[in-house]
Amino acid sequence: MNFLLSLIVWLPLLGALVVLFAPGLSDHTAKRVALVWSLAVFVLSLPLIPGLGVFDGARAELQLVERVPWISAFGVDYFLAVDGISIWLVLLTTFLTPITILSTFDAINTRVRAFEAFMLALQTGMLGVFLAQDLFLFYIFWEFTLVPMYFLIGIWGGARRIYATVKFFLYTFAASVLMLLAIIALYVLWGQNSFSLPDMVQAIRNNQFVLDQNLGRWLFLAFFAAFAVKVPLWPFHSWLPDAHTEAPTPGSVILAGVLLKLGGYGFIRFNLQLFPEASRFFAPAIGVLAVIGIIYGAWIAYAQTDIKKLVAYSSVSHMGFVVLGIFALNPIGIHGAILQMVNHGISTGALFLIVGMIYERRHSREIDAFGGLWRVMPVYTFLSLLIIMSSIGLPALNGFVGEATIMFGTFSSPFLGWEFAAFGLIGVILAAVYLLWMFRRVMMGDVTEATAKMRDISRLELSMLIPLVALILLIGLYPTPFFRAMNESVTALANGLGPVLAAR
Amino acid sequence: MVPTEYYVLLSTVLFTIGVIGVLTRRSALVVFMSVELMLNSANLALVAFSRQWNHVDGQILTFFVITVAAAEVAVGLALLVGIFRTRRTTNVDEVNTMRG
Amino acid sequence: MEETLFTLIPAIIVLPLLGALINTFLIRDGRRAGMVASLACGAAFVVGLAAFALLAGLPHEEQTHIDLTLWQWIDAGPLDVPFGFLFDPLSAVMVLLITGVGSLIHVFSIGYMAHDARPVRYFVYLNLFVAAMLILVLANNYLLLFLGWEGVGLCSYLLIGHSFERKEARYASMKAFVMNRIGDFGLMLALLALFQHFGSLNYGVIFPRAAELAGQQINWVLGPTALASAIAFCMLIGVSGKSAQIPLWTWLPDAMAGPTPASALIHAATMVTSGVYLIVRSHSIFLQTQAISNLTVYVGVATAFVAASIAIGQYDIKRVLAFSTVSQLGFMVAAAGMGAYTAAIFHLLTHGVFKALLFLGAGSVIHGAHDVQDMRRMGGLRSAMPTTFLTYMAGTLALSGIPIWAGFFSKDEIIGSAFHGTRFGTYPVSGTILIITAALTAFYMARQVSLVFLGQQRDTSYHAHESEPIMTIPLWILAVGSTIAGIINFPGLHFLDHFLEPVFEVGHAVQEPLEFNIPLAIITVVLALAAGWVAYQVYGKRQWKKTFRDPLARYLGVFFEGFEQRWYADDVYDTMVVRPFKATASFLSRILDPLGIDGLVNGAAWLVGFGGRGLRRAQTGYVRSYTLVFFLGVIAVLGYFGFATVR
Repeated sequence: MNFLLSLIVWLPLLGALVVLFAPGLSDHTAKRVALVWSLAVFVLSLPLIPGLGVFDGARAELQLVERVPWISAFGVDYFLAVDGISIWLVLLTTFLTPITILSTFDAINTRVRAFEAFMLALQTGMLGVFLAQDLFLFYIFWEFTLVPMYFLIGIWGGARRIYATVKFFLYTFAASVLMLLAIIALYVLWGQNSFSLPDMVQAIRNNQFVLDQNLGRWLFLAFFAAFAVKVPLWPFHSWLPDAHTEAPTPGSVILAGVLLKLGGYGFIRFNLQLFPEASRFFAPAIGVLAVIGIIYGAWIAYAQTDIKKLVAYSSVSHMGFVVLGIFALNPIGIHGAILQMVNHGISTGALFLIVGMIYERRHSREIDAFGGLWRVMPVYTFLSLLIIMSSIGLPALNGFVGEATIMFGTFSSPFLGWEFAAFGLIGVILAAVYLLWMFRRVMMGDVTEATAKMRDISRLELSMLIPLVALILLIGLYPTPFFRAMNESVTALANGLGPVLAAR
Repeated sequence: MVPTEYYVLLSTVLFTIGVIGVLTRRSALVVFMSVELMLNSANLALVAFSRQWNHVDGQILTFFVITVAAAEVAVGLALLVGIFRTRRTTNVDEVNTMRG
Repeated sequence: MEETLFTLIPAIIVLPLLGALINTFLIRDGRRAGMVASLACGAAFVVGLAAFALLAGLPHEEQTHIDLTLWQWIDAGPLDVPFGFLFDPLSAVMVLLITGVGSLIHVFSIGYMAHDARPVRYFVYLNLFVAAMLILVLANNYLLLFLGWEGVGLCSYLLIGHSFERKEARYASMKAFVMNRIGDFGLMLALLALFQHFGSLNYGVIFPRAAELAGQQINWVLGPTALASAIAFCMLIGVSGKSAQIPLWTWLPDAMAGPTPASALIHAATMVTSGVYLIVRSHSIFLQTQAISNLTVYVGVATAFVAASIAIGQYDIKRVLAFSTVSQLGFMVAAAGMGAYTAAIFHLLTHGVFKALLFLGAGSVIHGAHDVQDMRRMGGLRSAMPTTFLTYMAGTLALSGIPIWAGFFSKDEIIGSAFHGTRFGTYPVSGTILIITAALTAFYMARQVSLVFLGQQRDTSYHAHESEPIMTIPLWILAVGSTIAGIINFPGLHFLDHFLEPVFEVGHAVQEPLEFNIPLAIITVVLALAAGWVAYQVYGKRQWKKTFRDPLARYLGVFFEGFEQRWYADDVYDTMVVRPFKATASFLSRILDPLGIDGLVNGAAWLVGFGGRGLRRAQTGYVRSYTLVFFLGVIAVLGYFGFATVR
């Protein structure tokens, strides 16, 4: 089974071609073909679940390694592998994609085949980013994800879609180019004619590859730029609300659900592993940005009148927690950050789904256009309440486990400390403020003439939300298996950051 | 044997005629012919030098130039026909949609 | 025997949870849902009683070791938190209170919610609440306690917002959740600090080592502070949120927008007392810090007094009880701060019984008076609702601290502790304020009884009727409880003192049982009786109009206005916190984000565009001009090389 990862990565792209070029495929069938295809990918990825034999959660090193020389003149390898850091993100991607495609059944009615093809192509890109262990290959996948997303927003988006998609593309692309520069610099400086990340990290840890302190910090910042824009970290966030507001529902779901995680993953995989010294040096500064983002995003979310924009700003706030956890630079914080990425993917993905559902019914996303949904749509509201509570960070649901773990990591981190935790916790208070405020006005309140006719959740919609809600409860009550699978890899990573940290 | 200088001189004259043709004429067809003239003047110079130094490189390069010229004419004439069909003119000054 | 306990304890929690699940998915009929919910809660009570009996049968030193881990909850490297329960005497008495009073309230609700639009949902919330509250008191570590802590907050939110068609219910529910969240912020911070220091959140690890906190310091803006004080202070913030103490108390009176039985269970008998439970549970930590323990006392005493004064100026039958609850919680918090932990728990238990009775009685009145809540529109309901009146009197006497009723003993123990002294010394000033507060309590209760039950019915637009037996039977049971509950820590017998002793041995916090202070008791009783008599004279004798202004307003002037307006606390918070928050949000959203941060981004884009517009002039679109430039370029290059070669 040593081609399993390749299979998972490339199968969606093949599916995209099939959906696009298969003759005589109606829109109706195209949706189903795409769904079945993505489900097949999901089923193929199931053996990766730690404990089922293929992936061993008790090992720290990379597993299921596939490594073939690709462009030997420059030492570029086709190099895929997975470890405890990426395993859950890979599974999150394969899990969320079918749900997202399911959401296109209602939300997308024009140029359906192209849409499904872009969705599947995007999945290839995202999985490639999580699995590539060669810097060059990683960069290719990284930029590749931009293309489908660009079209998803630009073709199927709302009124200001062109502005939003160009902004999204240029902003992320400009920052990524800096990363390319840093990748080339590392390649040249190392001089081993190789782009292999694990080998480079090994060399750095053994002091065979010593970067000049200043240079290391600059290169750190170049990588940081690409990932900070993607996460997005305050103050690089301003593309996100526009992109989310204009994107069609499935686009928002996948953007919030997986694409933002590419940034957080990049921080862990590249910044922390390649530049331990610079990571320690910049940790407090990045921590400050993260905390500002947490509070700023939450605060600004409160003033939104568009539900989707509110959720978008809540993403800024929640991803701030992830960055805070990562730059706590200790095992607890990184554990929490990785789990919180998964949690945020589930909860915020689900939030965008529920917003999309009422948009389909009412063709508006203004908070004022709704009211009293609890009376007319009880099942829908019940599920929404659960998802909102997960986003608020209610214990026994998934959001709390991630956030609390991050907070414990932050508090005990020698680089951050209690002040960061205290300000981060203010964000937890504010999350309750803006989300309950939204809930009060949309779900509670008076039934208006327009909302009275809204029908309750359909079976199709139920089938999207049920798996998400099940995971929300599972991770909330029993996150241990999730933590255990990443434990070894994270501990090894923290060891690489300095012996002081591993002990904590 | 004709001295090499004569060939070079002829080549220069042809090239200059080509340049002036490209710069002054407005008909795209004539511009094309002028470009051909310039290419062939270059060919002449290459062959002449090739013989002067008894070296085959120049003649090989000439074949490349001829090939490229042929390709260029093929593409260029096709474009020209296309432009004429849509715009009913071959005047290069009127084909200025690329103006910024 | 321990094995039996290990199966019983999870069952206590699982039963109400099961009830909630059954009601969510299977039951559509309100009355049947009520039966299921009551049965689930009642079964939990029975199981709890059995577990209690087993625990009481264990030897003293083993009573604090019934600790079972169901599964590993969080296991993130060094952070290691079990999903586990500790069943010790303290949690045992809490379990009995929650499930016992809870069951009665469930039964009462069947009648009360009969005409509600969504009774099934109500019973689901109620069962869920019981489960969360049980997790709170049974947890063996702080993080699981936090789960219950926020879980009850959620249920409280849902129950307050149950009739969300009403605007005040919508606002009150959110206000309650957010203010509790502010408190939770403090509690969470305390947890983080505890973990940082002890590397664990389990009670079993922290409490025996609590003495290590002494001498530890942390640095912050105000300079170095004792770690124990910092932790205790953060916990106090949490207590203030959950138990509605100053400064986070304003949510509780608004929470009365929920159904009355829910108020009885959550906002009187159980949830709001979890702050007191937290202090008592964490006594090992509070004992390390005299400063914060004193602060706790002051917060409690101030809250008790302020809330009692506000209760005098209220016209809504439930609001009087709400402020009374805040006031009584102040008594408990003060007792817990003094280190009189048993007294705090004693009052918690008796208050849980008699305040539940009062709330249910008020519910019965509201039910019988067709949703009238303004006491000025009542009057003379004694004849229409004899049972409710009688049982209500039992609750009133208990709350006012009249001898033989439960409140007398528990309240007296707190006041006695203040004068008698604890390990932190005596609190004579606080004790005096508490005595005055007790008199105020008797006053507002006598005022309420006079206005509601005595005299003539002032508003005759409705026809009051007695409630059905399903509601009055719980009232009777609670009335008997309110009358005799003093026995659990009767002076001279000290059942509760002895039962809880093992819990306090861990933190070396065992106090000699307090003996009865007869002069003090006489003073408080005389004052209470006098206050009650005055109130009866003022309110019970005259015939008022149905929109009268309280006669005290004439004598007390601005003070009474303060009572009526709750000392303007809400207005102060509104102007100082809520409005600035909204204004800033709007500033960030309208100005800083689009013009500042996004302005920079778009500015950069504009700069590129500007440069492009400049360069655009060069693109004339004339092929010949391009060629000319091209040739000039060629000549320039050739010229350069030629020049370079010549030189």
